Amino acid sequence: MSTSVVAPDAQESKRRSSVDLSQLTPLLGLALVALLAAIFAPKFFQADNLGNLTRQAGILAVVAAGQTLVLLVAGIDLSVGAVITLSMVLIAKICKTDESKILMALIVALIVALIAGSANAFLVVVRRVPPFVATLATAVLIGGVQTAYTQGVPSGSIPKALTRLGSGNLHGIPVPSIVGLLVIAATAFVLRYTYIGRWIYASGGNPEAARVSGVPVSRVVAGCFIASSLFALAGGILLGGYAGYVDSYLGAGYDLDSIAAAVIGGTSFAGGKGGVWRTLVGSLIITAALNMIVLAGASEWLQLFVKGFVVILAVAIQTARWNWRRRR
Amino acid sequence: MQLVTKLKMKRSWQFAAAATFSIVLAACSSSTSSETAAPAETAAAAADAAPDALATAWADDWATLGITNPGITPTDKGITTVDTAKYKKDGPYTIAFASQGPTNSWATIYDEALKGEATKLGVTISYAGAMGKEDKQVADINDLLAKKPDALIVTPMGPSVKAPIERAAAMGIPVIICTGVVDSTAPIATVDRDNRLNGALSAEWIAEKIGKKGNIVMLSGIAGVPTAETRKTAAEEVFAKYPDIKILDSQYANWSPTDGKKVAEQMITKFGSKIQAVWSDSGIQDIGVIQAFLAAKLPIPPMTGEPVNAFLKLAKANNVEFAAIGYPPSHSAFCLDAAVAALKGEPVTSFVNVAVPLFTNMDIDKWVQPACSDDLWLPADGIPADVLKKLKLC
Repeated sequence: MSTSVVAPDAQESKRRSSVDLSQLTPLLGLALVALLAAIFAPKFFQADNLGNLTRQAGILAVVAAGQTLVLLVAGIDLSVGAVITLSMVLIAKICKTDESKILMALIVALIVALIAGSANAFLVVVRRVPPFVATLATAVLIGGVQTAYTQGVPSGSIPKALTRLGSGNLHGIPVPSIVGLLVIAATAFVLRYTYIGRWIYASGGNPEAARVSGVPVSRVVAGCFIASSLFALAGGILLGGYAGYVDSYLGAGYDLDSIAAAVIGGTSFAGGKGGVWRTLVGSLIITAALNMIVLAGASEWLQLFVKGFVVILAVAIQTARWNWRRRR
Repeated sequence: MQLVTKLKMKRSWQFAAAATFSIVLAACSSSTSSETAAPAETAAAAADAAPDALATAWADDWATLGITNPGITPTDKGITTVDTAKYKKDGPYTIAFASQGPTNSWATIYDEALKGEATKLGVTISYAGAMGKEDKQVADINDLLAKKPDALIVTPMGPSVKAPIERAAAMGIPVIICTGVVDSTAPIATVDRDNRLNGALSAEWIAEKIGKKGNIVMLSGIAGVPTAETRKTAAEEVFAKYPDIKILDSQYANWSPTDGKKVAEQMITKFGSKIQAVWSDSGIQDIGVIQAFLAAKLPIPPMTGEPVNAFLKLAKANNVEFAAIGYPPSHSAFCLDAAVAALKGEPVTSFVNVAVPLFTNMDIDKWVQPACSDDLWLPADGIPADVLKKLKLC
């Protein structure tokens, strides 16, 4: 039964020509950033800078991969930043200076991420709370738990084993870049070549049709929310390792940045359209654009402006593309 | 984007509060700017000590850091002595405290210090923590006013608290601003640190450290936040006096170790070993700066920061040359002292400048606490031992 479900994206692809140039839009965006960097900030291409930005992009890509799964089922997850912060605060607090507790700390963080993801899933799937509200509520709740647990001192140093993970290199390549690539590749494989991937696209693209076709839509949606929390935990471990120190703002901004990375990559808010490879490119665009303008000596306001502009441009391109298709 | 802005504002106020902090902790008097009373001193003593505190700090703090004022002058804050006779009433007092809320170790200690002072003075505190949110604080203040407190202490989270503060004043309730700025004449007093002085002190230390010539970079907190902008502007004013000092780059690092590292990495990419010193307005972002230089395998240049234990530990481990300008959270006790003074009808100074610890890496062993939490803000002498233990700080 499961194999009879075909993802809307796949159906659409078959109808169109074999090469969909519109899907290359994110890559063209990345090329544009590179071109602008070549003109305005030549040091952008220095090996150490490319290492730094791919490290940061790798971390964002891990979180954004989870966010993409949620967006594919027409959801949104505003709790990833809170999960990142709480999980890393827990690890810092449990380990302190005792590295031998790291395994226990990771298990506790894993349990907490599972609980957060399950809470989102329960609210969205069982209680029918809109994902925006449900995940926002979970984020607030996590903040409360964090304050209660830490008694208002939500910070501390990250164990050295994790800093090696977040800040280290493997054969000259930043570890977070490698992890980001592996996570994206694994997720892309699941989405493209397994029935679970087809279920995800079907559940987001047309849930009623999917349900009729035998897709366990509720379980698929729930699984995506839980996966998003787990991806956030993985990204948090890399981020904490990169920063070396966690405070209550560690995950701040990752909710919106992960959404932006997915949207820039072409994933639709409406569900059923998109993919994680393009989310990887979206992560690279966001990170590279900000890196480039800082290297070019841009002011703070221009940095924020560019970040907002990139998202608006990406959405505008996507919308224009759909309109163009409809006119045909 | 709005959420990001709000989160940043949270941070801005936590550090705005930090910047205010100076008052005292006299146990470390050898390195503490201008002589100040300990938090346990009476309200009257605090009020008496206040009028010249700002002038004293501007006169003495340079020498404490071993530097000379290059000709920077304080902004006229129009400091006056406020007659509080109309607020005089008999105790015991109930004082409302609209605080930032326990969003980090600094803010948590800040709350505990004020509550500890209240216990000593026999004052009942009616508390509301805004968790860094301006909109929540507006509601908090209105809720607190409904209880008809004898006085109101506010750690402002943003400009919109102006309205409820002015409503409190109209109700005849004396209002004390504790760390931060509100554009209103309603408060009878503000207890804070002069951030212009902090910015100028740290910049002059950098200038003298590099022999008044060379290349530097600047890292500030959050764009647009008064604490960050005041420090930055004062620092730029100092650097402008030295034509041979070149500011290679100036960025905001949002008082974040993560952003500090990102920004420093980019600066290193652009300028590498040309960077001779780092002016920074926070020890928190310095954590990231040090890591960036270590990752780039470059010598760590001299820098400025704050005495938070995580930074001090890292600086000590890597022999970093630094100047630290503190912002001890226990200064909140002085805000309560000022409120109690007003209720006793004693004169109150309209701006109480808080004295802060000032020291360099030469004295690091006197300050760093290897056995204590990274979250500890030094000096910790004014914080009760049971509070330190409860918060697992030491």
